Parts: sequence; structure tokens; C-alpha cells
Amino acid sequence: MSDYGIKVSRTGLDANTASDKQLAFSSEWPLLPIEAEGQVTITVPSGGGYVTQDIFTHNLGYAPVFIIDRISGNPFYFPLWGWCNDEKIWFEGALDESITLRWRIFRRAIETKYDGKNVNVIDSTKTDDSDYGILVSLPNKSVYSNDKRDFGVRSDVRQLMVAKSDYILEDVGGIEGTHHLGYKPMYLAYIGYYDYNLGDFLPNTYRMASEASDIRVLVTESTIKIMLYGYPWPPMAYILFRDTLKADG
Amino acid sequence: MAKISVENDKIFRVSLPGYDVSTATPEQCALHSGFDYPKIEEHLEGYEVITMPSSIPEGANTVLTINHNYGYVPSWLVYLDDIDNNMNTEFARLPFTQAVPVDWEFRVDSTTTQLKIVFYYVDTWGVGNMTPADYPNIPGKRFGFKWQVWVND
Repeated sequence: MSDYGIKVSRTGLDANTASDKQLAFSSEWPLLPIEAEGQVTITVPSGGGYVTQDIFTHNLGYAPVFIIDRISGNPFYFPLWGWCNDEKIWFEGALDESITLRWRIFRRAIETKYDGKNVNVIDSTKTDDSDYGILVSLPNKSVYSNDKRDFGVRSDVRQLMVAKSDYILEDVGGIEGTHHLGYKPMYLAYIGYYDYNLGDFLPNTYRMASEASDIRVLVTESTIKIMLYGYPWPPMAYILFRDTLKADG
Repeated sequence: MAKISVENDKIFRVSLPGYDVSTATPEQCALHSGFDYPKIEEHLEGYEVITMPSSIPEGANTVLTINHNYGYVPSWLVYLDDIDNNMNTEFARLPFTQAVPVDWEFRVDSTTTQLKIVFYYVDTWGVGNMTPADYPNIPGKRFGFKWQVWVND
């Protein structure tokens, strides 16, 4: 099947010459569609303690890409406390104080192998200050709205474009992959969890991986590597975006 | 809020290469008007290097402030660049900590007008301010931050 898609450059750039990362959007690569989102307050028992609380049931049938971040409350928050499987997302962690979290689920399976091709890696210089792009308003929102939150996609803002994603199953060890972006890309990473009561990994269950004393994520101009300091080796997954880490994207 | 997607919305769809737009699932679409997406304004994305103070008091220390003035608390992605290679990390997503017991973290505090990158320190050992004598890897060291403020709240 031929590709008759569209591409939209970021403001001030010519869509004909803009490099891949200078695009606001391209039908060449997937974005992250938001399935559900919200805020939740996790209340701790008197004196603090370990809390498990369901956040949202999605029933997508796969563990979706997700983000859970602290908004306020308990001063320390570990992304590893955010959990997700093929039915729901939930919180599991030790708190001293109540904490308010923002959560978001995307319509994309964590276990997705994808490697989008590069189209143009040579940056263009800004030559065009006009914006001739597109507006796609959300359902039941006016395309004339002045609130940018009322739009799914706008050409005067950029979108997170997925460059690559990959995963490994349990007992493989660390995950290593190459990419062809030529810059250090922004990423999200996920790891599975070994349930010592079960004596096995929880099936299709992931936590947000963040660097701490037990995990290390390395990204370079051409590789990504996730290592966990200890056995058993969990499932691991990552997503790379067409956004640079080192300088303005 | 909870579920916000409208899967049967048919106003505007663009499928990914290799998929027929008339039958593509949302996962197979590059763009689907029934879904919202993370969005970033050009002026609310950047990379900046800061040098931590040589003596850091207990509590929340703001190391970088980004004004967005959205009037609501936006979402974000922020990454920490360990420029001086003091810690066993390359580019960690915030929040980030390494210590055991945990007595410090780099984190993000977002308000309706500002995004603040904060270094939070608790004087667990009773040493007073954090200084290189007790914490050689943070006070006086350089760190870079890649920050991205989303339009989405």
C-alpha cells in the first residue's frame, strides 16, 4: 500500500526541508494517543505505611504505555510505585504522607516492536515565520477555541513522535537496542516485577522504570541500554521519541 | 477526568504507512480526531545547565524555574544530565534519586504559572547543610536539564 500521508513542520520551518525532528507531526510515525487521564489522591494510614490502590480500569487487553507523576504531597515519589497491566493501572508504595498523582494512559501497548525509518535527518534553518498548518479540535470542542487543550493536534505546537519501541521478555537480562536518530532521544522505560510470593513475574505487568540504585538507563546517539542490578531479570521495554535530550528539541 | 478518547469519532483520521485508514484501529493511526495527544509549545521546551550551590539547605531548593503562565498545572517531561559524571547515570527522567536511605531527590513541582525543578534534601544524618564533605557528588557540581512543558494539564 502506498503512503499518501501528511506532514506538518514546526512553526517557522518549511515542511519541504524540515528534518524529522523539526516536524510538528508526520503520518510516517505514530504519536501517543491519550486513552484516559486524571488525578488521584492516595491517602495513607495514620503514621504512614504501604498502600495499594487501584487508579483506573482500562480493559484494553494489553499493558499500555502510561505515566504517573507526583503533583503534590509525600515529598518523595518513585515512578516504580506506578503499576500497569492489561486491565488497570494502580499505585503500590510506601508513603509517609498522602500524595496526589497525575496519571495518563496511552493507546499503545508497552510490548510493541517498532522501528520507524528516518526520512530527513538534516536540520533546516528557519526561513518561514508564518504558520499555514492544521487544527484538529477534540470531539465536542470548537475549532475556533482559544484554549490549546481543546485540540488533539495543532501545527503551532509539536507532538511527541515515536521513533522506536522494543521490549524483551523475562530472564533475558538487560535490553540493548540501536537507533538511527543521530542524537540522544527522549525516552520512557518500563520493567516487569518479580512477585516473591508467586515465585514468578506477574504476567503482562509493568512499572515505570526510573534510575535509582537498582536500575540504569543509558541512551546515546545510536544506542539505548537498560540494566537492572540483580537477578531475576524482568521483562523490559522502552520507547524513543524524535525529541533530543541534549539541546532544544 | 478518566477516559477521554472517542474511538468512533470519524471527523479526521490519518493511518500509519501500511494501514488502510478505513479499517485502521487507533493504534494503527498516525492521527485520530477522537484522541488527544501530548502537545508542546516551542518556547516551553529547552535544555539548561546549572551548578548546584556548594552548601544546600534542608528542604525544597528550586534550581530552575520555567514560567508558563497557563493558569492550570501542566504535564511535563524532564530529564537530568549528569554532566560531571558524579552519579551512575546518563540522562535520568525526573523524579530521580540514588541514595539509600533516600534523603534527596531531583523532582518537578508544577504550579499554574511555573514549572520548578527542585532539589529536595532531608538531613537524615544530622550533618546540617549538604556539603561536598558529606555528599561529594552533588554540591558544587553541574547538572543539565532537558525540560518539556506540555499544553496538556
